[in-house]
Amino acid sequence: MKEQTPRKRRAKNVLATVLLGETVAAGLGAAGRPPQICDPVPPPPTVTPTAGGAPTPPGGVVSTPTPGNPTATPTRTTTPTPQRTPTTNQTPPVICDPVPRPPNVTPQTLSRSLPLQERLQIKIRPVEERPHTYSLDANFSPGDVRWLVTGGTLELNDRTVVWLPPAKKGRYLLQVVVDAGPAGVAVDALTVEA
Amino acid sequence: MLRREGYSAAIAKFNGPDDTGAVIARAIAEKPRLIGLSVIFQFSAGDFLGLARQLRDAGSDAKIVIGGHFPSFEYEPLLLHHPAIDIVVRFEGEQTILDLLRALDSPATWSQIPGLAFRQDGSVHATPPCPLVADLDALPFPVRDGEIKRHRGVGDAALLGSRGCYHRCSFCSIGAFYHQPNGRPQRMRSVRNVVDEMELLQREYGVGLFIFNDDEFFDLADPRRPLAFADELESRGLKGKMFIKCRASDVDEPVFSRLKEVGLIRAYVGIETGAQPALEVFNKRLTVEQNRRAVTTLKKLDILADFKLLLFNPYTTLMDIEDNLRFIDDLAADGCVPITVARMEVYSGTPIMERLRAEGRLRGDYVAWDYEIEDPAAELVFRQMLAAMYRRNYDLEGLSKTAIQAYYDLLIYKHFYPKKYEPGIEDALRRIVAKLNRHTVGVIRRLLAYARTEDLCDVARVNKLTIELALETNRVDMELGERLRRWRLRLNRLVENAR
Repeated sequence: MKEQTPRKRRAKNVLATVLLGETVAAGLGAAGRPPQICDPVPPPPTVTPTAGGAPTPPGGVVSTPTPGNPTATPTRTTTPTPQRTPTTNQTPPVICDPVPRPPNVTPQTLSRSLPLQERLQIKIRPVEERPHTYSLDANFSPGDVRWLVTGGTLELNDRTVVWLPPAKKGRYLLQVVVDAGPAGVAVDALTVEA
Repeated sequence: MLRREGYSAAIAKFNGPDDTGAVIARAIAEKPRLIGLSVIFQFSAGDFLGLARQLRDAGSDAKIVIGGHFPSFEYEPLLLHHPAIDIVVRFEGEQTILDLLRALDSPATWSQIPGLAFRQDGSVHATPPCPLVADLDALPFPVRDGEIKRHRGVGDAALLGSRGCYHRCSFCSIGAFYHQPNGRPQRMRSVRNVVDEMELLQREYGVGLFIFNDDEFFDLADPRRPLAFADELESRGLKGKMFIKCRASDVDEPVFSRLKEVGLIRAYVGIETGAQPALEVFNKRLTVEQNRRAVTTLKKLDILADFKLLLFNPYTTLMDIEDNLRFIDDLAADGCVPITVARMEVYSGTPIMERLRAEGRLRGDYVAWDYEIEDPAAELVFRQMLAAMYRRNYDLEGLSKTAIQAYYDLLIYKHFYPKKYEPGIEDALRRIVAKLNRHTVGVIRRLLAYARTEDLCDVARVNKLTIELALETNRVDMELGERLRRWRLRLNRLVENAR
């Protein structure tokens, strides 16, 4: 059957917004789209998410809202998407079947008996090109932050770091480490170019 | 479907928050009466809910309708907690959305429309699901507005030759989605109908690569279908390449050999795990031996066998993890495909979600369900792996992702420019990916060794090891990323010369 052209168009409009440019992998265990750096927008904080999805009995179902309880709502911090240098000037379509990403959860949802109690995330964000300045984005309040680089030197300024490149041109690895004790650790890296 | 019925309809791309501005601008300019949000994946729900809210804030007065796998199961909390969402279309939506449009201004009649959920008088009302579309050939071909994507001179298009799946894997929402409404859970378009669409795509849009996104490409009830499909392609002289998705049990050498003759170059196989207990947890009804045979067969046929390993599930043991590492050693240490390791995530509507709930182990909420692994040693390995290899495994620019893209580039070069193909480029990529895979295995083995013998609760030592492995992983990824960058430059030159 070929695509059909409508004989007439009524004055009714529909805008369908869909995920495009990806492989729909659901059903093969890899359901999901490529993970994004930024966390999903959290639901409104004044309501209680309840487990829905019960099968609908014949004749339909009517349900009533539950009074709000903000503590049941995930309290995530949105991490801005960092600007990074594209790795290639030819971006192929997203054909890989996306990897399911574990949710970022509030500390109290993970067991306190084991280390790494929180899923801490940090991201090095380029701030300026000259001088090479980077800041740290995090989904928590990082305490002890350690920066490392494979060449040149680093100058720390509050929550930013300035990289002074070595004389030798090339690519170097800038890394940042946060050790938050029982809460966990987080490490991020960025290739920087002199 | 909508256009066939005389409605003016358009598609707007939304792959994430970066597209929000463009979608809102379009909604404000075109003033649609209805905006439909297609949410297939649970962890994209937050992005779509944010879009709905911003559409409302921007002044759109369109009815905002959300549909797809996730909303079909979680319609109730979505409607209760997100006032920007007016209506949920549950399960297959073609007929429901048409019925809704016809009655859009008469909310009092919505309760007569199958497949809807909506608010009324402060409560959520849901009607029974609409029966599944019995004859997929009766549906028009999907709209292909705008230009077809082209990469390295090759146009590609995604299409579906079927819908649904007969299997009931415990972690997969497809089974629940297609088993709940009345109708056959897996339905096939006729071979002729599928090839008609492929012909149209090639003729009208210059498509050379057909990416089949079927939940399950093969028909359990008709083992001859792939051969009939191949015959149809051949009889019409359709030249193109194909990607498909399937289960390990589908990989039969004569059948895949025939499909290769008519253009199959990549198969995503739902391997999921190399540990038999995990296959049982997933209710895959497969053996590890079948998984191994599937990958081996595809390698033998020189069809790219893509797969991922869900190394962790709620019942994972250290032995399961070791079995998976051995699976990688045996089948992917040669770099035939970049291995990504991940945890099974919990999706709404799935049997595993109900099982965890019954066990009192389901955590999180309807937007993002969560759990802990029963065995604390395995849970610790997961936590450490996540912290040490997050960037490699999950980041859009992580090495696993860029290596998979490199394989895509290689396939394009190899199969669309065969006369100029230099086999050395494939060997070079395999060496990079082999090192990547071996390093991933090595990191997890070191975590296993710690979990087997050391104090799981020693925060200082656990953190120290995790940081050490994360720093090492980043160093390896930088080195391999640099090699991959140079490899890509070489490929660029080869493709340019070939075109």
